[in-house]
Amino acid sequence: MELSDQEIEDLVVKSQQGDQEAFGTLYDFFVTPIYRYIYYKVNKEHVEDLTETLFLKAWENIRKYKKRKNTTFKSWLYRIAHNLVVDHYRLHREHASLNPWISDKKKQADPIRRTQESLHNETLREAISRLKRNYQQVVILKFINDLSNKEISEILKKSEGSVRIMQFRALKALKSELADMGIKDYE
Amino acid sequence: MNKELQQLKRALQRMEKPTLDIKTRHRMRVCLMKRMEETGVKSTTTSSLENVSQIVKRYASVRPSATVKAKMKEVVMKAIAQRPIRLSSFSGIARQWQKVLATLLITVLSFTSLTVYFSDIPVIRAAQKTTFQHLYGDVDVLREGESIEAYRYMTLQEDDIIVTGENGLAIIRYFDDSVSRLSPRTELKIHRLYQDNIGLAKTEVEVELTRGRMWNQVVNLVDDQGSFEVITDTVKARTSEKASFDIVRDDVQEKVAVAVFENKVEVRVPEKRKEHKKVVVEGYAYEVDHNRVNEEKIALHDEEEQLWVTVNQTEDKNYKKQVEEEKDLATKEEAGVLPSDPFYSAKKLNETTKLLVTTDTVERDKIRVDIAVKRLTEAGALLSDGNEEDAHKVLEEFSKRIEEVQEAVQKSPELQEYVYTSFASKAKDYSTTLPDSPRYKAKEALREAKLSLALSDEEKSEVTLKNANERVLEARELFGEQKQDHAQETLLQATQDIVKVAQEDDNKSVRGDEQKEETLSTVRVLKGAVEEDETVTREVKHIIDVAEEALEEVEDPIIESDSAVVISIDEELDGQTTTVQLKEVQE
Repeated sequence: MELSDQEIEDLVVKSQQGDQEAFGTLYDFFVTPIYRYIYYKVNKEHVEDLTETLFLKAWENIRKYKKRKNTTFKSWLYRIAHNLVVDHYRLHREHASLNPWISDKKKQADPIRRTQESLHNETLREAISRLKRNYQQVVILKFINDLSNKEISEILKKSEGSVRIMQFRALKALKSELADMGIKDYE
Repeated sequence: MNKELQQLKRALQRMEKPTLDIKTRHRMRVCLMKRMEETGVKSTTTSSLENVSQIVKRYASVRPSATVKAKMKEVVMKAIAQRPIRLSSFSGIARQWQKVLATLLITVLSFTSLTVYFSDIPVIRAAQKTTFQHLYGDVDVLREGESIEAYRYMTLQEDDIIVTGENGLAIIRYFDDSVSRLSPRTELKIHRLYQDNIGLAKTEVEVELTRGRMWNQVVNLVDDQGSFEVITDTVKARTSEKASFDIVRDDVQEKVAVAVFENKVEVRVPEKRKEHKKVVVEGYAYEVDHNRVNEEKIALHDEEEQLWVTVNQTEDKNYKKQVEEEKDLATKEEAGVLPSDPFYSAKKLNETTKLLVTTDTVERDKIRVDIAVKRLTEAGALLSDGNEEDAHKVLEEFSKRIEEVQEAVQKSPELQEYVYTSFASKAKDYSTTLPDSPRYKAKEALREAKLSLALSDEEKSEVTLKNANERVLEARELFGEQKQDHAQETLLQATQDIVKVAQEDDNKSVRGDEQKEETLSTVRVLKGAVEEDETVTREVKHIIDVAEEALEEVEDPIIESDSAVVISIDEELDGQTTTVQLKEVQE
């Protein structure tokens, strides 16, 4: 499903007038990237619930949204997701993006080092989960959710320059984590 | 970017990403739509007030039968006969206390500038007692088994139980300058009102909310010397610094909620053998309901709540100004004879004589500290009067006196304690002084003095962070008052200090880490408060980011190349001053 920026804004206006179907269309368009964003940030059993809660919050607060120079509906939605995840951490004291299928560091560290010579998805996820939270954030938004630097800067409320620097540092940190895990070949 | 990082980037982009299968998407959609139905469709054109009017109309169509009306009238008339209304402007008793509260609070709010509460408080601060500042409607005090009708300025003591009736409202001002505003149908017991005889800054207030609702504003606790605590059967809410928080004890539903509106409050919930501790920050509410806890952003559910919060926040601002004015007057009283007065030389002669006749070294140093503190008080009074020239001279003497005792403080624990206590008491005089106040220079001089008397590098770092913490709180208040320029300057100063401390790795003491956490928490409160505020500039938000990152121990804080803000640290190397600028990392 493809929607242009203008189509999205039109649907938002209709939703603000109470049109649930219009909001449903927005949901269809944004649910996958939002789900993906939350997926890497919290335990698996909370992902669906948080995704639903996010869209419900968006619906309840949609009249507060206003298209501005540095805010699109997309970045507004991600901002809500970010805040929701932060609140979730505060309540559940989750650290890093722990999904159950990412196995415990202590158990897997040695086997990974011993047996793996090249980069697999699971290893990458493991390495991402070890990053500091703000670096995880940038890696997930940029390379997993494919957001532009401008969009990321709107979500994180930082300048594009800061976002570029954070990406650079995040990649360096990720490289370092992978090196600790014995991975040097990324192809 | 080098080859390896490019490869890593491509690997990330190739990574298998989670997707929602159609069945799950549909199920979630149905669930969402159902929840949207339950919350109700809201139209853009309907404001919350119109929603309220719709609800009122709906309830207005309900009518009691004649029999019910007659029975209710009997009960009401009996109640009126037993307890007459005190305020003659009130005609009739409102059955819903919410309407009464709204009317009372709006009446209070309509008084401008100095509020009704403080219009006839004596000039010299008399806040050494805990009293009722204001009362409306039915308020009683139960003391030693007897019920006393409360009256304005009545002194309260430990073990008193304050009970507000259906139409009652009470404002308590504690001896430490904190206030509690009790809503109708509230019961509060005073457990502890403690002030140390020697270290006057060391105070403890502990009250218990049995039922009802109260808003608490703490303005005058400094240096972790004091504490203000509200307890209920399930929750303890405590603060050692400025804060505003609302606490509700619903005895019908058996739940307690603590909502923080300024700074942060520590909330403890005992559970079995241990106690859960949580710092609740501005903008968040913590609820305990049948052993379940829930923390979420503050949401005001109805007009009544919005009114309660709005009025109390307005009164908070008024009260702070009032306390600052009182302190200003008290400082002038305490300063007494000033340099411009003819008897000033006699005052100084008296001080010199005291020094000469004291033979004990430690006692003499204590007198030096007393003299220094007197100079500081004089400086406060002079600055308040706009006499910067004399204030400057007097502050110089203050610094000189502090220098004189520096070496002795390092060696004598007794003197350290004396200095610490004296400074803590003095700090309270300036706890509400903001950077835009003429008295602020005196506050800064006191901070410098504390720093100069630090016993070790670790302590110096800790004091620096404490000062930075205070400045961030000041900046927060200034932003709240739309004083952007002062706020930015104060924040910049705080951030410079934070960055400096963060770069000194020697600060590894436990106390140092605690102070770092505390300051980080305060920075985050400020960040949360200004995040959505479009009047706050990009530069300011960037400065906050820098402070946060420095405290989170990021290697180099990120400085924007196109920003007008430059953070520089002056370092003395071999007697020369070098300016070090934090540079942007190059990709």
